[in-house]
Order: sequence, then structure tokens, then C-alpha cells
Amino acid sequence: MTSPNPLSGRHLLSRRGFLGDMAAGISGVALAQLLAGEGLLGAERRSSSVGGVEPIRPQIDPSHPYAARSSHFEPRAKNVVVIFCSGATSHLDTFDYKPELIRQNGKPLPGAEDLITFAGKQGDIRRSHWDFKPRGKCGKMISDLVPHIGSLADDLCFIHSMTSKTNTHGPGENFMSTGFTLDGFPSLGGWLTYALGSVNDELPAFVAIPDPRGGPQMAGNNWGAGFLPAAFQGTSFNASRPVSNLARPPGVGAGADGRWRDFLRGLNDRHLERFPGDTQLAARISSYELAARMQLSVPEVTDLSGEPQSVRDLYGADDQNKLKAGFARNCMLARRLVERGVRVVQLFNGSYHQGGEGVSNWDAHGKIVEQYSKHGPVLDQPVAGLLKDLKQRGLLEETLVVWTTEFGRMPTFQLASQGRDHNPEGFTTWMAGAGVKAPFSFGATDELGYKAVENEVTVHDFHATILHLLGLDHERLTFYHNGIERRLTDVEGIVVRKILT
Amino acid sequence: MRLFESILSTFCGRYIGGPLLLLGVLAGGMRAEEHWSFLPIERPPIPMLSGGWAANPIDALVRARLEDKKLRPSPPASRATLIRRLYLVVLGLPPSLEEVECFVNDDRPGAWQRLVDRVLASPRYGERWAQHWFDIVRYAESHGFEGNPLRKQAWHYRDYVIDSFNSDKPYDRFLTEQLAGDAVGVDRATAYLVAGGCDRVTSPDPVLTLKQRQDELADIINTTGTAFLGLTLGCARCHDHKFDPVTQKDYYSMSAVFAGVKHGERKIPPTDYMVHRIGELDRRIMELWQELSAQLPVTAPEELVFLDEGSVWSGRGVAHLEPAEDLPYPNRPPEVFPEDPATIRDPADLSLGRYGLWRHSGDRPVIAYRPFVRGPHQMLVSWAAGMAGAGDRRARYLLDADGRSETSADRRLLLAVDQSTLADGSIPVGDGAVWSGLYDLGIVELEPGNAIVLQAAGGSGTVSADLLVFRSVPQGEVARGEIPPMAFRPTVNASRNVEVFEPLKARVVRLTILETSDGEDAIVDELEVFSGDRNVALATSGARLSASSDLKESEIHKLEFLNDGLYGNERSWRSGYTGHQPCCPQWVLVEFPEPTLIERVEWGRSRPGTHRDAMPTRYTLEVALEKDQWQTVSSSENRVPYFVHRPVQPQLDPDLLPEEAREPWQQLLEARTEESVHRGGLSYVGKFEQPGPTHLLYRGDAMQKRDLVAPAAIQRFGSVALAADSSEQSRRVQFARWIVARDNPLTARVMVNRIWQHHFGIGMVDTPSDFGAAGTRPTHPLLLDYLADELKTSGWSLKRLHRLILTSRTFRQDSRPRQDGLAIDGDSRFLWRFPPRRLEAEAIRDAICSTSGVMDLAMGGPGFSGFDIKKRADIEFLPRTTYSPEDFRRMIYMTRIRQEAEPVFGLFDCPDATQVMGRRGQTTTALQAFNLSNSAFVVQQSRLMADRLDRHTTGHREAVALAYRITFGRNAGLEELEKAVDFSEGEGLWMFCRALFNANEFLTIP
Repeated sequence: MTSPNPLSGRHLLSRRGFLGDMAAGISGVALAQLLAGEGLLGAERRSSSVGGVEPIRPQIDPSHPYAARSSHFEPRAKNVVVIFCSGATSHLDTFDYKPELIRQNGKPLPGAEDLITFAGKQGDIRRSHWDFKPRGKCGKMISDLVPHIGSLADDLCFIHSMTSKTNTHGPGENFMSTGFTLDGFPSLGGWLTYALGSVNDELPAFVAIPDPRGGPQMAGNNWGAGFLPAAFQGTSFNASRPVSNLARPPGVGAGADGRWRDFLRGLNDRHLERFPGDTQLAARISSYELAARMQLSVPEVTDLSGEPQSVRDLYGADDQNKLKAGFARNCMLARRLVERGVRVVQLFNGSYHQGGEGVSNWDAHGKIVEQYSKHGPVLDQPVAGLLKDLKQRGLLEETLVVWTTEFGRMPTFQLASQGRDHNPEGFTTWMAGAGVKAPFSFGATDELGYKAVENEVTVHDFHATILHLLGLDHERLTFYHNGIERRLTDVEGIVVRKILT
Repeated sequence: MRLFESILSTFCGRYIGGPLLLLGVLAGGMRAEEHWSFLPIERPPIPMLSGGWAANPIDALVRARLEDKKLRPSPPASRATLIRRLYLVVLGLPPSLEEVECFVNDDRPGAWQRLVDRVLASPRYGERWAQHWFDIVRYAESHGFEGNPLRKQAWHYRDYVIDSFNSDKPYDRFLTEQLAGDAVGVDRATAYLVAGGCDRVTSPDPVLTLKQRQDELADIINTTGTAFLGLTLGCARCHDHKFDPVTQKDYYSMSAVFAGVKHGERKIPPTDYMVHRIGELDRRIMELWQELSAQLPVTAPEELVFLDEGSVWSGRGVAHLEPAEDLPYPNRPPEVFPEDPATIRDPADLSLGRYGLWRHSGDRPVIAYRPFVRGPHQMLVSWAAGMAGAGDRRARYLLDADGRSETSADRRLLLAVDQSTLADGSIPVGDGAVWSGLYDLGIVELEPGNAIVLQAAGGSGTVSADLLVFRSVPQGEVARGEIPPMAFRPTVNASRNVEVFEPLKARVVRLTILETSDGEDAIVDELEVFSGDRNVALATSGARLSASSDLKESEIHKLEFLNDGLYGNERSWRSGYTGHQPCCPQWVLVEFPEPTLIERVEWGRSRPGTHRDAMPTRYTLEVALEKDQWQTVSSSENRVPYFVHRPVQPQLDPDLLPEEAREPWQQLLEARTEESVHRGGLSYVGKFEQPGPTHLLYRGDAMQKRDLVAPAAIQRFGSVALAADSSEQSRRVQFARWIVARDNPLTARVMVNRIWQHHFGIGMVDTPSDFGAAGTRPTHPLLLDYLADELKTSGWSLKRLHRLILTSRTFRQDSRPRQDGLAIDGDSRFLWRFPPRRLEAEAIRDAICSTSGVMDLAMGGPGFSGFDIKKRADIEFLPRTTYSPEDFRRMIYMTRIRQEAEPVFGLFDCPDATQVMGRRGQTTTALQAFNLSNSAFVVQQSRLMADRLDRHTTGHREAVALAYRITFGRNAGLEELEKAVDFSEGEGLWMFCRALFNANEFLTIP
């Protein structure tokens, strides 16, 4: 079959499509009917673009959906690691230093009497429990909650003016991971692998690594394919939970499984003789060969036993704090995946499976000091270890590391409570590695850290920037679904050029 | 021009722009009439052809297009291929060995037509096409969004869709029912409206709440437009549609149509499945009672057993005997409980104003009670008295010795009573229903297998039932005739509970809560302690509070609200207690500044009666003058247990049961629970409320209201006229009429294309959910119109459409590739052959179970789970590790979960049920290979298949030969057979079966 790709739905503007547009749009009915009568319009959808920006739909070979594909322009980064802190990490207790909070500690927030946030009314302004200190050569003020990450301030590019469209976790996670607050849209990792494929076909192109405590609130929607072909959903495993169905059936040795595969190959080859050149059938055949290779490569990548003690200690992989050690091993796994060319790694910190509100995630409504005192150390050294390790191996030059969360938290405590409510009006994320300035801080919230007031960066802008760093034009990377050329960035998004090197 | 530019730059996709496009759009607005799918459907002339291709208009029209393209058709496929193709396409299952042989050897004329008719009549047909339907109506059985909780009672819609396809319900009626089934007595169909995901997180933030509601409405509007009309309506939420004649006003008109639709459960009329299943469960429960009767402990002396219609308590049962005209649980106005405690002579309404009611004509048993006690018992019965005009009210209570409803010779009369009177024989005042009070039947000797049957005495009238009490009496007392009168108090209620005791001096009062109505931590809105008429517990009187625990972060629940003199949920205490162990319960304590003479305590969950959740149902009230010298002054012990009023799991401790009784006991509990769910009849079919006015929202922003909009459809297609304040239901009814109107050019075309697509793998329009200007044009426009017209003129029969397609030569062509065809039409869009394709996920799973011989074809009812569901803080959906026979039903009966792909087959492009998915992907990945070769499911099925072969054959050669015939519907070639026998002998028969399930020949529609 010399079939054009059924996955991408339609091709770039062709002469025929152009005629279709000319016919329908300008020259009127007569020409359209003439062409239609001759079948010239055929099955081609009339392209919706004439001038301006045209969509670039990757051509997916169904036999090799992960084949490496070229970017739209020279990329700055080849891979990306997204560290996602589930539950909304407070920017005011980590990276966004606000001396005014200390001065106004205990005073009411101006205008708070009419302000209803997610959980209701506001209590007083509360300073962070953790002191901020100058870090690195640049002297960036970062809190004692994350001293290890703080020590790498010279390598980090902060965005302090993030905003979200929603103040609810589920839609917030969706928005940050997929560009839409609703369920069912393709994830960032899905879009990237749809666009670029992968350079290593013996590992999944997109890996989601859930926290050792369980998944985030929106679970698989964070790494889903949405309406993209299912091949572009993230594969979920971590250092303690292996890839499903990777292992051979009980009692079947490697030799027997090899003979089984040969026998299956014989069945399929004979069948293929009746359908010469059928790429779908050929693809299924080769998928078993690939599976055989992955059966070796995946356990190899998840087996951390060969890592030297010095590296394990860098991450804290043998820490007495079991949660920290578990997350550290996931961070090591992330590095090993990137090292082997996995295109996108999404690394989760925090879960809603073991405990709701703030217990095993960053959602500290009631007891921020108690809860963050547990979560800070779990996150801090392992993430710092990952950055250092990537850097010392030279991987940071071609890898973009993104740290994010769904939104920020309030400068006040909730009324009659010891924690902060959700705040989508302003929060902090950071990037490190390929293509971004460091040390650098971009944008700002107001003096109390409540709202982004300088250089607001929306989640769409954030996504546009990540795609840009990977060599993709976010306005042109599209997938046609139910009548709409869908994009990661919907109809918005401006690349934040000022943070780029 | 500037205006358009600014609109365009804001909306759908910036890549489009520039003056040329603007011209197109401007022109587009004016020439919308010309878009092909908006033109009326016209039946085309059928080209005259010679030979076999002339008989079926499909063939004539396909042939004409082939000739246009200089293509020639393929010869017919072999019979073995054809029957396999037919079964897989139409039923989603491979044919059995016998079916293949029967067809291949049927030499009589018309064999194919007969086979097609038989296949279309199979119930498997509805299961297959319901699957396709669910893809486009985003149906699933979980809410999606945060936590993705399950929707346990959503499956009724699945059965409705299957039934509808099987009965060939006219498509116009099918659509109408889904939009407004409540207007035509098909309530379960309206589940369509709320089949999508729903964000159930609530917040005091009004902006969030408005947005969530707008998203819910958008889901209904978008799905309706995309699934039924092939129009993308979502764009018009923020602006007029860029390509299609849908204005923003149209969008909000449709928003007004659905403005009264809310997510949630509604009671539906019993379906065949429910009636059948309730009967089955009742029989099963009866058997289990019989089995258990010798083993369960009997009541202790002085134990009271309460039975209320429709509920279970302490393992005793109530069974409805036949589905007579059943009017269960009428609700009277909320009762006031001024007299407390009640006595037998002066009773409060013990049953919270609810009673069972049956209309009857003639003698009819309506309900059986199984108190499951042994020995002499004082028995008291009650009913709803009064009800002037309810006809004959005479009723009889009978003791049924063997407890079986089939036998009546073993019954003896206990009481004949006229239920229009009160228990004491007096006539109640007024026309309405009044609780009769308890009628003392005296002492009855009971055995665990006995039942008490309530029966109408004759004539035409009404019989009713309310609370029954069985009170064990020691033999000695019976002999002496010393039965002390009974006095007990009504059940706790949400608004006000009074505890009266002898006046005494106390320094502290403690309320200890042992259980709540729903197992949540307790809420009490006010605790009042009276000295005379003065509430001495008030903070203003100097009383101080302490408690086991307190919900710290809440604004509405605070400890100090317990004695602030203010009522209601907004001023209440919530314990925030998470332990629930009986050893350390929840308590609250009031301490007076000095010893105080007290005589009464009053408390409530929510005095205005607005909330019943977290209500204390078991408690003790103690007082003390000195430290630790507690004295119990009142408790829930002498109240009718709260659990009488709702079905709960019996309280019996299974550890006390004899070993052999535990299994039947567990089964009994499960049967009772399932029965009560079916009787309750709740289903996730949405709720309807008369909505307020609908406004156009500027740029779709819920906070920016603009003009008022009346309910209507899309103006361009001849909308419907409805007043702005039309009744909720009439909006949906009128809208449905518009959708299925004969002059609606889209509805029939879109459905014909979908049906066509599922026969040939791809539609004539390959954007099946977009028939607008951005979609593709049909490959066979005349054929599409011919079939759309045929659908409408044949009374919207889908089976007729299938038959037309399936009996065509086009469908029966061989599928093998030909170089001349590929060169011109690589995708086979013009159908010079039948295009082969991979099976969908569900069909693969079903084909495996069917081939291994373990398929369970049971239809309907609650589904089985594809996951091991673990509930910690949030639900976790984990892969299953083992499977048992109930998992071998067709995959359509697997509970559909949003967000989560089923762990084995989900990767084969199952949609995630969040949006309309008109056409699934056909991806191929190594992870699919893992799932199909190594999953516990496939390994088990391979072994089951090997067992099946072993049972029917002797030796590997026979087994392998049979396997080829079962799996591929053909004989193995000689060389194939040799290789397979070698492999099977070397590695085991099951390894051979495992290979068959992974073979392309097995996974492909040929």
C-alpha cells in the first residue's frame, strides 16, 4: 500500500486543496461543481489555510509511529524532563521571595473582605515559615525548604509571573499537562512525541514516572494521548513499578519465548504472502521484534543497581527517609531515560492516592508547616541531584528540565486555618538546561506575591516556549479532530523569548 | 475589515489569516447555502449497468465511481472469508466452526441473504453497534476529572442502547429518546445527555461554579452537534462559527434548550432486566434463608427485631412477593416530634412518615417478612390508616410455615384487620394517611424459616405496610401471662432530639457519638441543656466546651458554634474525627461554671432540617457531678434504630457465625444489597429542573452576560419556535423534533456515513464528525444521498441499511491487494476491493474469549471491572492480576472508565470517553505486543483454549488441526500443520494457542 498516512488525516496544502479553496471561496459555485463533477475535489478536505501560518502536520508512518521526525526549525533541546509537583506548591515558601510578607505578617490582605478563593474567605497575611537566603554566585533568594535546589540557583531560569485559568486541582493539572482544563486533550508529551518521535526505538518515546506514593489527581490524563493516536500516550512506570506485561509469562524461559516468537513470525509471514506490501501487517510483525528488544532494554534502564554509590548519594537514593529515597530513585531513572534518548520524561512529585489535601501532596490548606516540612526534603535533594548529574554528564546541554506545579498559593492563610488556599493569579516555575538563560529570573508578582504584575506568562505561553525550545512552532503543530485543527496552545500562546539564550 | 481581523485573530487558530482568507470567510457567510451537506438530500438516479452490479443501487453507484477512476472491482471473496468478515463486522465475533461449515456447504440459492438475515437477528449485533455508538456519545461509568469517581448506576444506558439496536428502533426515535426520553416513557435513554464527564469539585468561589456549569452545558451541546449533526458547535461558544452557519446566538439558544439538564441520578421505571433480576434475587434470598435457618444464632431474650418495608436490619429480611402495582414509600410532610418519649398508647410516628403501599384487586400477598427468630415472640404490626377513597382496606397477616411463597397450604391466619382504622380500632380524622400506631398481635411461636405474609383480603383496594416489631419473650413469662407493655422512642431525626431524665445536679454533660447516618464524622449544630426553660449550656451562660476533636480548617464547623445559640449547618460543630474505632469515639462535653440542676437535653444535626448527613444515630448521654463519676441518663438504646429507615448491611458479626454459614451469609448480604439497588431504581440519567433565563456570554466568559436568549436550534436549518420561558421538557422535545425533521439535511447523512464506515473501515466522508466546510467531501456523494434518502423513507430502519450494504457485491469483494488498484487508489477509498483492517480492542478481546470457548454471553445488568480498584484517598485503577469466568463476558459489559485505558486492550486505540470519537486510530506499538503476548489475561485464555482442544481431541496433531479451524475458520495447510505440531509438541499446546491469538490472521477483518 502506498497509502498516504491515515493518522494525520490530511496532508499539507496540495494543489488540489488549493483549487478547492479557490473554487469555494472565490470563483464561486460553477467552478466548484465543475471540479466536483470531475471528482477533482475527491476526498481531500479543503484546506483551511491559504495565507498566513499553515499547519504542519507530522507524517506518521503507522508502522513506525516513533520514528524520529524533524522539527520545524533548529531545536535548542532534544529532550525534556518535566518535574510536576502535584497539589500546587506554594511559590511563597520556595522560590518567590517577598520581604513585604514578613513586614505585613498578621495584617489583613487589602480587599480580602470581598475575596472568595477556592476554599472561601481569607485570614491574615502570613510570612513563610522558612527563611530565604541568597544562593549561588548570583545571590538569588531561595527558601530553606529547598536548600539543595537553591544551591543550583546559578543554573536556574525562574518564571515568577505564571498564571492559570483555574483554581481547582483537576482542571489545573489538566491545563498544565494538556493546555486545556477539561479532560481528554493530548498531553504535552503526547504532542512532542507526535511531532518528533524518538531517537531510541527500544524504549517508549514518552515516559511518565508517578510518585512512589501513587498517581496525581488526574492520573493518566496528564500523560494521555487524548484524540491523538494511542501510540502517543505516555508509558507509565517508575523505579518500583515496572512496565505492564513486559515480563514473559510465568514458566516461559527466554529460549522458549524466542522459539514462540519465531513460530509466530512464521504464521504472520505466511499470512503476509496473501497481502504483499501491506504496511499495517508488516508493522505488527516488526512490533514483536521491537518488543523483544524492549524486553531487554527496559529492565536494563530501570535497574539502578549498577549506579555507583557516589551517584546514588548525589540523589539521596539510599536515604533513611523512604519517601525521599523512592523519589530519588525515580529521578535517577529519569536521567537514565534521557541518557538513552527518551524524548519526554514527566516526573511526578506528590500523589492523591495515599492521602488527600496536603498529606502526600503539596495541597497545604490546613497545616502548611507540618506538611511542607515533610514534602520539602523529599523533593529537594533528588531534584538537585538530577540537575547536577545531567550537568556533569553534559546532558543538560541538550536537555530541557522544567519544574512546575498546577498553580500557586495565597499570601494569606485561609480563615481560621494554618495553610494557604489556591492561587492561580501568580506562581513560579523554573527551567534549566538547553536553550534557557541562567541564572535568570523573569516576571514578578506584586509585593505580596498574590498576582503576577510584570510580564505575565500564561500556561499557553509556557507551553509555546517549551515547544519552541524543542524546535516546534506551537501555532503550526496541529491535529485535525472533530472539525478543528487542534493545538497544544488552543488559540493562544506567545513564546517567552526573553528567557531564551 | 478590522473588526473581522480582530475576531479572527482571537479565535480558532492563528495560523489562518491574511486577506485571502478573509475574502473566503466573507464570501463563505454569504454562500453557506452551497455547502454540499447543507443542501437537501436528493435521491439520485441510479446508473444503468449490465450484469450483476446493476441489482443493488450501492453496486451501481460504486461501480460508476470506479469507472470514473479507471478502476475495476475485485472478484468475490471465498465463502470462508465472507462469513468471517460478516461476523466480525456485524457482530464483532468470529463465526463458530459449525456456522462456517454450514454456510460453506449451503448450495441452495440465497445462502448469503439467509446468512445476513440470521446475523442481523443475533443479539450480538446490538452489543457490537452499541460499542460504536458509545465512541461518539462519550459514554463512560466514571465522572472523570478529580479523583475520577465511579458512576455505579450508569449501565442502564448501555443496556438501552443495545436493546435499541437489537430491536431495530427507528433511528429518529432513538435520537428523540436520548434527548427527551422522559417525555415518552423511556427514562433511561436520557443518560445520553449526562454521559460525559463532570467536574464535581465544589467551592464557595462563584466564578468557578459558573464555569463548571458552562462546561457541562458545552459538553452536551458539542456532543449533540458533533455526534448527531456532524457540526462543530463548540466554536460558537465564544464567537460565530468561522466556516459553518452557526452563530454564537445559536449556541446559546441551544444552551437554553439544555439549561435545565443537571448531572445526577433519577428513578427510572423498572426495566426487564431489573424485574427479572429482582425475581431471581428474591428466590435466591429465600433459598439462602432456608440454608441458613438451622445455623444462625437466634434472638436473645428481650431482643427487639424491627422490620420495615424495603429495609434490612440485623440480618432479617423483607421480600416483595410480586410486582403488583407498587407505590412504595409515599412521603408525608415532615413530621414534628413534640412528644418525647413516646409510649405504646401515645406513639410518635416511628417510621419517619414512610410506608409501603400496593393497589390490588382480589386476594394478593404483597410482602413477606422474615424476622428470623425462634421461640415465642410478642408481635406488633402497623400500617398507614385513613386514606379515604383508597377502596377496600381489609388486609390479613398470615404465618407461612416454610417461608416459601409458592406453597400456601402451610399458612395460618394471625390477624384480619381493616387498615382504614387506627390500631385501636378508631377512625382517624381527615382524609390523608396516618400512621396506625402498633397493633399488638399477641404471642406467636416462631421458627427461623417462617415468614409473615401480608395479603389483601379481597375486592379492589389498597393494602399498606409499615413498621413491624418482634419482641422475644421468655417461656416462663408467656406461661404466667406477664408481658410488660413496651415503650420505646422514635428514631433520631436530623432536626431535633429530646432527652428527658429525672432532674439531677451536674457539673458536666457529655454526648458520646458511636455511629453516624453515613459513617462520616459527626455534626451537631447545637447542644442545649435545660434547667427548667433556661438553656444553661450557652456560652453566654458561662458554659465551656471541649471535644474529642474538631475540624480545624472550616468556616462553618467550629466547636464554639455548638453553644452559640444559633442553629443550622452553617453554625455547627463537626468532629473531624477520622478514627471510627469503637474504642475511642467522638464526644463533646459541656462544663458548667458550677453544679447545676438539669432535666433535659436537646440536640440536632441541623435544626432547619436541611442536612441529614453525618447525623449521630447511636450515642450515649452522660452527666457527672464529680470527676469521672459518669452516669448515663439517656441513649439511643431505647430508640427505634435509625437503620430501619435505610437499607444497610446487617450488623451481625460474621465471626460469630458457624464456619459453614459464612459463605451463604455473605451471599445473602450481597443479594440483599443488589436487590435493594435494583428496587431503588436510580440511574445516572440526569435530572431536570425548570431553568432560569439564558444569556449570551461575551466570548464565552461566564461572568460577562449579554442579551437574553430563548431556546432554539440553529437558525440556518429552520429552527424551532419556543418562548423564553418554555417548560424544560418541551425545549428538549422540540429540539429533538428539529434534529430528526425530514428536511434536516445532516442527521441522516451523518448516520449513514457512520454505518458505512463501520462496514468498510472508513466512511465516504473521512471526517465522520465534521460535515461542515472544514470537513472533507464524500468520495461517493450520490451514494451517500441515496442511502440517506433510503434511511429516511424506510422509516429510519438501520437493519435495512445494513442489509442493503451487506448484500452488495461491493461488500463481498475479495480483499487482496492488486497492483493496478494500489497505483490509482492506495487507500482503497473507491472500493476496488474490500479494505482489510485490524480488529478493534473490544473485538479482539471478545474473539479471544469466544475462540477459547469460555465466552459468557449473559446480557445486561451491572458490568464487570477491567481494573483492580483500590480506594485509598483517591480511587486507583490498577491492572488486574487474575480473571474469573464473570470476566469473560463481552467487553461491552466491562465498566467503562474515563481517563484510564483498560490495561490489556486499551492500547489498541480505545477512546478515553471524554469527547466524540468518530474514528479510532489504528496504531501499532510494541506495548500492544507485550499486552497480547504476556498479559495474565491472554496467557490464561491460551491455557483455556488448550484445555478446550484437549477435551475434544487426542494428540497434538488433532488438536492443532482443530485449532486452525476454530481460530481462522479454515483448514491448516500440510506444511503449516507439520510446523505447528512440531512447535506444539516442543513448547506445549497452550504456547501454540498463545501464538494464534497474536497472529495477524486472527486480528484482521479479512
